[in-house]
Formats: sequence, C-alpha cells, structure tokens
Amino acid sequence: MQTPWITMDYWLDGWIVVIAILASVSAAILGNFLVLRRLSLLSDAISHSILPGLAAAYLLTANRYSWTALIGAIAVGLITVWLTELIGQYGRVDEGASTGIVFTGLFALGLIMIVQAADRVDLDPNCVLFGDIELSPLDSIVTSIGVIPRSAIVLTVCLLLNTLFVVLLFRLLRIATFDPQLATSLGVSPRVLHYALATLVAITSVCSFEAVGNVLVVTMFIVPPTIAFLLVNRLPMMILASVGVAALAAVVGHLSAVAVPLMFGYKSTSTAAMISVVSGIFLALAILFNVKTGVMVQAFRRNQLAWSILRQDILALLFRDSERGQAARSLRDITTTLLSQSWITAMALRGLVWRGYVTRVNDQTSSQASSSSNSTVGYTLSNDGRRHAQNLVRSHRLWEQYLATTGTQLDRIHAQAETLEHFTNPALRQQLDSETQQPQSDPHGKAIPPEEK
Amino acid sequence: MMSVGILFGMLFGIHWESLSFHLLGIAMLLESEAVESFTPLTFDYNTQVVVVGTSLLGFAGGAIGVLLLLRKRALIGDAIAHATLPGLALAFFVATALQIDGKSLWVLLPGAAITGLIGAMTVVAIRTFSPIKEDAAMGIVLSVFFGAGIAMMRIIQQMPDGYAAGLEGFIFGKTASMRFQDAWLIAVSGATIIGLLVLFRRQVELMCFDESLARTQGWPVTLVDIGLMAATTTIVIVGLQAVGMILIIAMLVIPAAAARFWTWRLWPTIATSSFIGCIGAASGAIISTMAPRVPSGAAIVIVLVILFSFSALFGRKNGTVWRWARRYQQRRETDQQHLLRSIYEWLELKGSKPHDFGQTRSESFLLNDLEFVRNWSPLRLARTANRFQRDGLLLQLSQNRWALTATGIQQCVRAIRQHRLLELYFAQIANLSPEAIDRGADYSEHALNDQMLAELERDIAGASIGYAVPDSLHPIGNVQSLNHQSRNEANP
Repeated sequence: MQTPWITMDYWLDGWIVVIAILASVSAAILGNFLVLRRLSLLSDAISHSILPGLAAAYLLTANRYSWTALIGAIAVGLITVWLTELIGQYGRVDEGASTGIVFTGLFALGLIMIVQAADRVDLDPNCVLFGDIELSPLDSIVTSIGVIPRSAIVLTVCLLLNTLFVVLLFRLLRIATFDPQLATSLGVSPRVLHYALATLVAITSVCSFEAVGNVLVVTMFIVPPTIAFLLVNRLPMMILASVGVAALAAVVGHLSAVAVPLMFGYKSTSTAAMISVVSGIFLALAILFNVKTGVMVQAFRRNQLAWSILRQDILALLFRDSERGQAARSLRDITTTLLSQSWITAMALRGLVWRGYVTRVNDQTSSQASSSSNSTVGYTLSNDGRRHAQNLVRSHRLWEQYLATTGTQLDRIHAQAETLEHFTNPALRQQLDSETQQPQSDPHGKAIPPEEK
Repeated sequence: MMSVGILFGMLFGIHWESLSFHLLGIAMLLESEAVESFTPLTFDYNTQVVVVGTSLLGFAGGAIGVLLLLRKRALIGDAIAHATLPGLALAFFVATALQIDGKSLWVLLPGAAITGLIGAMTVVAIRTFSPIKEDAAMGIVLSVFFGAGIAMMRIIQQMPDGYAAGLEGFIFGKTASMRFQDAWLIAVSGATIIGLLVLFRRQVELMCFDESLARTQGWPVTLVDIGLMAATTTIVIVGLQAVGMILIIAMLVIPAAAARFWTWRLWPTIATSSFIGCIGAASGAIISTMAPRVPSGAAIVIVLVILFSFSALFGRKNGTVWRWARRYQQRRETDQQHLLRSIYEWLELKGSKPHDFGQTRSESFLLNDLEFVRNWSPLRLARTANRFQRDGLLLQLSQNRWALTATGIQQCVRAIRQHRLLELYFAQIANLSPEAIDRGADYSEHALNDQMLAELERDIAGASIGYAVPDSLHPIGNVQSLNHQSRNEANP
C-alpha cells in the first residue's frame, strides 16, 4: 500500500478550511436551539425549500451573491414555516408530515427552475446537494488586507449575525427554549422567536449554500450541538462546546477528504461530505463514550458495580465461614454457594488477592467442608479482608435488625439486607446502630460484630 | 381534458366514499388501452412502461404513506431514502472489485436496501440508547449517511468506468432509464405490499389507532412495525429510479396528507391516498417524458402538490373552501339575528315595541338610527336589511324608512326573547356582571335550539313571564352612537 502523502496548497487549502469552519460554526450556534426545541428538521426543511428563492434570484440577477438571493431565501424560509403550521393545523397531520409536504414541493419547484435556467446560470443540480467548497476560494475579491474569497466574507457576516442574535437575546432564547409557558407569560411570544430562528436558519443556509449545499448543511446544524448536548449540561457551555466540535470537525473533515482517498489510490473527495462523515463519527463516539449517558460508559459502570458486589459477597461468605470455625473455602465451593460461574469467581478472587484481602492457602485439612471438591487450593481472609468483611456483615445484620423493627416480615429481611449491605457507609451504620438501640444480635440470633476502623 | 375529468371524478368519487369506484378507476387507468388513449399523443412502448411502473409505485406509496402518517413516522422515509446513497456506492465498489457489471439494478438495489435499513435501525438505536430526540436522530442519519454517500460518489467519478455509472440518476430520478423489468419489479413489490396490507389489515388497523390495545391483545406490534419499515424501504428502493432519493418522501407523505381532506376513515383514506398517488405519479412521469429536461421526481412532486392543494381547498373534510363557506353562512345568520334584535331594541327605546299578536306591521324606523343600538357600518346594515326584504321579514317604505312585517315581528320577538332569557340565565345562575351578560348572551344565543329555549323559559323565567319579552337587564345603546345621534339631530 502506498503511503498517504498529503500535499497541500496552503492558500487554497487554508481558505477551504477557513470557509468550512465559518460555515460549521455559524450553523452550530443556531443548531443548539433547534436541537433543544426539537426543531431539528426545520433546518432540513428550510435548507431544501430556499431553493426556489435562490433560483428566482439567480434568474433575476444572474449573480450568485446578491441581496435578492438573501431576500428570496428569507421569504421562502418564512413561507415554509407558515405553510407547515397551516397544513398541520387544517390537515390534521403531525409536524413531520406537513414539513415533508412543504419542503419537497418547494424543492421540486426550485429544481425545475434551475434546470430550466441552466443555460443562463451555471448552477449544477448536483451541486445544490453538496456544494462545491473546493472551488469557492477561487471566487475571490481583492480587498485592502489581501485577496479574500467572497464566501469567506459572506460567511463571516453570517457568523457575526448569528453570534449577535444569540448573545443579545440569550436570556430570552433560554427561557423560550426551556419554558415556553413562562416566556409567553413574560410577554415574549415563542412564535415570534420561532420565526426569527427560521429567518436566521434561512440566512445561514443561503450563505453556506455554495460551500456545503443543502443536505450537508443539516449535519452542521444538528450534529455538533447534539454532541455538545451529550457532553455538557448547561446551555452556555453547550453552545461553546458545539462551536469547538464544529470547528474541529471542519478541520479533520478537510484533512480526511484529502488523506483518506489517497490510501486507496484515489484523489481527494468532497470536503463538505467528509465533514459530515467526521461529524457522524464524532457523534458515534460521543454516544458510546460520553461521561453522562454513554452506552459503553454505562455498561462499564454496571460491570464495575457487579464485580464489586461479587467481591463483597465473597468477603462476607468467608467471614461467616470463619465465624463457624471453617478456615478456608475452595473456588468451586464459593462458585456454587454464590450461584456464580467459576471463571467469574476466579476473576473476583484474583482481584481480592491482588488487593490483599484474601490469601491462598494450600491446606487440605482446612477444607474438609468442601469434601466434594478435589482442589487443594483454598481461600481465606487476611487481616485487611477480615476488617472489611466484618463491617459488611455488621451492615447486613444491622439492616436486618432495623428492618425487623420497622415491621417487615422476617422471611423478607435477609434479601433486602443482602442488597442494602453493599451501599452502607460507616455513618449510616452508626445511625442504624443508634436507631436500633445498639443491639448485640440480629433477628436470626447471630451476633452483630463490632465496627472495625 | 383528462386530468380535469379525473379531478371531478375524485371530487364526487370521494364524496360517496365508495371503495369500488376508486378501484374501478385505477383498474381502468392501468389497462394498457386506457394508457394508450390517455392523451391524444401516442406514447411509445418505453413511455407506457414508465407510466405504468410509476403509477403502480404511486399506488403502493400512497397506501403505505397513510400508515406512516398515522404512526407519526412520515419522515423516517426521508432518512431511509438518503441512507440508500452509500449503499448504492458501496454496491458499485464491490461489484467492480468482483468484476460484475456495477450498473445493474440487481447489484445496486440490494446495496441501497441494506444501508437504507441500517439507516432506519440507526434512528431507532439512537432514540433508544441515547437521550437524543427522534427529530434530531432522523436529521443526523439523513445528512451523515448522505455525506458518506457523496464522499464515495466523488471517488467513483474518478474510476475509469465510473463516470458513466449513472448513479446520479438515483438522486433526482430519471425515468428515461427505466426498462420493462424495472416496471415488473415495481409491480411485483407493490402487489406484495398491498397483498400483505390486506392480509394483515386487522393488525394494521389496531396498531395505527390503539397501539397499547394491540399489545395487550397479544399482537406482535414490534413485528408489524418492522414490516412497515421494510415496506417503506421497499417503496423507497424501487422508487429511486423514478423519483430519486431526495423527493421520494413526497410519494409517501403528500397523497396520504391529501386524502385526509376527503375522509377520516382508515380504508377509504388508504384507497383515496393510493388513487392520488397513482394519478400524481403517472401524470408526473408523462410530463417528464414530454419535457425531458424536467427531472421526473420534481415533475411528480409538483403534480402531487397541485393535487394536495386541490384537496386542501375543496376536500369535503376541512377543505378551505367549505370551511370559509360555513363561516360565511354562520356569520350571515348571526348578523340577521343581531339586526332583528336591534330593531326590537330600537323600537322599544322609542316606546313602540312590536307585539307578535294582532299586529300586521310594526312601527316604522330609520335604518340609520339602528347604529345607535348596533355599531355597524351603513353598508352592512343595508345588506342585511335587503336580505330580510327578500325573505319577507322587512318592508322598505321609503328610501331610509323600514318596517317589520308580521313574519318579521314574530322572528324579531323570538330573537329578543332568546337573548334576554339567556341574559337572565347568566345573571341568575352564573352571576356575571351586566357587561359580561350581554356579551355572553351575544356569543351563545346562536347555538340555542327550541328545546333549550323551552327549558330556559321553564327554569329561568317561570310562569310569571308568560309569553312576554323580559325587560333588558342593562341600558341599551352605546355612548359613541349617542354622540353620533345627537350630532345627527343637530344637523338634520
């Protein structure tokens, strides 16, 4: 396999990355509110339905960047929201369906307009879907600070606009997002903010249209804020995190657009598409590994808890053995008593030995109780282990005593205490002890051992 | 010509809500003679295949769309459609690597189906295993899968025989590339879906309207749901060629939503939706073959949107025109009752209130004066009064002078009794303030029927009132009109 060797033109690739970052970040800032207000599909709808507005502007001015395009797109964006509400209201269909009707209809109209005008305007229908970020630096203008691509300027203005909107109206947006009723009672109509948001989504879609097209911009609106939503709890942090993720995805996206196809012997692929793929991968990682709700993290925690409970059960078992005067127990014995599996018990025992709570003894005479076992290796508590085990058994018996005083039936207290003993700390033991008037034995007549420090 | 006929057929056909009518119409359309005589233009064999194929697609899509709509899953079709793109590209890669023809549908469509289903399952997985909401999950799957597809398409374009791969045709739809066996493919899948729908109709019905009941009765709801997803994926896959992945969702959503304006019962809705989908797809395909530069997907969607707008305007259930007509009718009736009441109140103020026995004509009054008791524009007053004259309730004596006829007096007394009895009800039972009494009575008097009126007479007024009109509980007329009145008197 040939080694990927990335060759870059610093002016061209630099501007592609800058444009990608600007587009991603402007979309992500607004996307936070879309995701939180469950309006994610609004971005999909508006980015599709602005097409006839854009096409009309192209036909009128034969220019890609014009105020007409902006106004056309805003108008169609607002019409989309209005028609969606109307159809949902009178057609008795849910919001998804009415959105689907409006944006497919408008997109089809725009498509036909573009195809009909293909002679006059160089706008490729395929380009509509995924943009042409690679060529956007070529359309540049000379300013006093150097040659700057036109779309970089447009997107900077767009980013400033979105930032101003979010910063100036932050309190209002937060209230309207999390408590629409409160916002209404404060005199802020969530509907007005809804339309304002739709307008800005339309503006952002138009500005990033040439760079990323209208399907991939949906990624930029939704995915970085969703990742941020998984990672942090508070809204300001979520916005900042989404901006960071968006910028990172833009950079990594462009690099992988250049590098990944090289590994298979092809030239670079679409940067916008790779930004989308990279964002998707980031999101998959966030879903699996985020600290709060990550699928793998939760599985790991559940696993950890299960292991520690098993270890504590083994300690308690060995302690009760020593109370009865039995010195050690074999692996198979522990496994059958705790209804476990031998490899799992072995792993747990290895953990206990490593921690120094349990010692292995090669003593056949002491494992007479396990006469069915032909193993000569037994396990017994060390001094450290005995202290831990004693507190565990103390917790168990205190809980039994406490549950008995609350009137729980005697045949139920053991099972409950078996669960609760694993979640009891010294302070709670102290409290249980005083609540039950420092008993000497539990309801089954077993002695409650003293607290070990 | 034909389309106008079809629209009228739709209007009346659905008004009767007869299933057989639709089936007859569709059967006629699908017969090849009917297609040949569809327009004066003679279609070649290929066009016939395309039209029959797409109309079958529209039929099946319309039926499945209703179920998706009822399950509130309409846009899952969009996510599936966008998720087919990486599958198409991957299938092409694999086929080329194995030295098979990568452009064959038998290679491409299974690939599309696999990633489409993976997309649908990813939406469900994201919703189940993370706190992300369903709308975001759909947007994520839609755009990320599509992005992956685009990235691979760019690479395919660099391959030696990749340029002619024609995979772009699947994005916007290209009916011209449709062949006879493709129409067969659509026909077989469509027939299978419809067959399964009929076979499992009871489960589907139950699942759409009462999921928990279906579960408690032991029906495998999840299985039926998966079946629905599979059917949706099938429609999307076989529709890729005709409509394209961006707009195929319209075939699922628009006919179903349009059918909701005609009927609210499940099976008539499915029949209507299939019918609309069929017509829309067929006419869109014909337009696209006649105007080759129009992408067929866009043409089909535009026709569907036109059919939807027609339904939204003229549909018997909640159609805008009927709704407006009803509202206009209601407002006219309200206006009439208000004017009759105002005439009584004005005559009463002048001390010459009409009696509904023995009097053949009331005292005359000037129409302008009624502005004192009812603040209407002169035009509205004159319009309502003229309507009364036509109905024989009012008599125009001179330019501005009118009087009630005997029938008019009866209606007038009935209207005022109704209003004042209600006022009494509000004052005695509901304990409202005088202003609220008048307003409340104003709103609700129009909804009174004879039986309610009789109850009011019995319970509120009692025997003491007899057939007389109770006195008003509040002063009549308003200050603004009073000023107006005095100004008029000052300058006659």
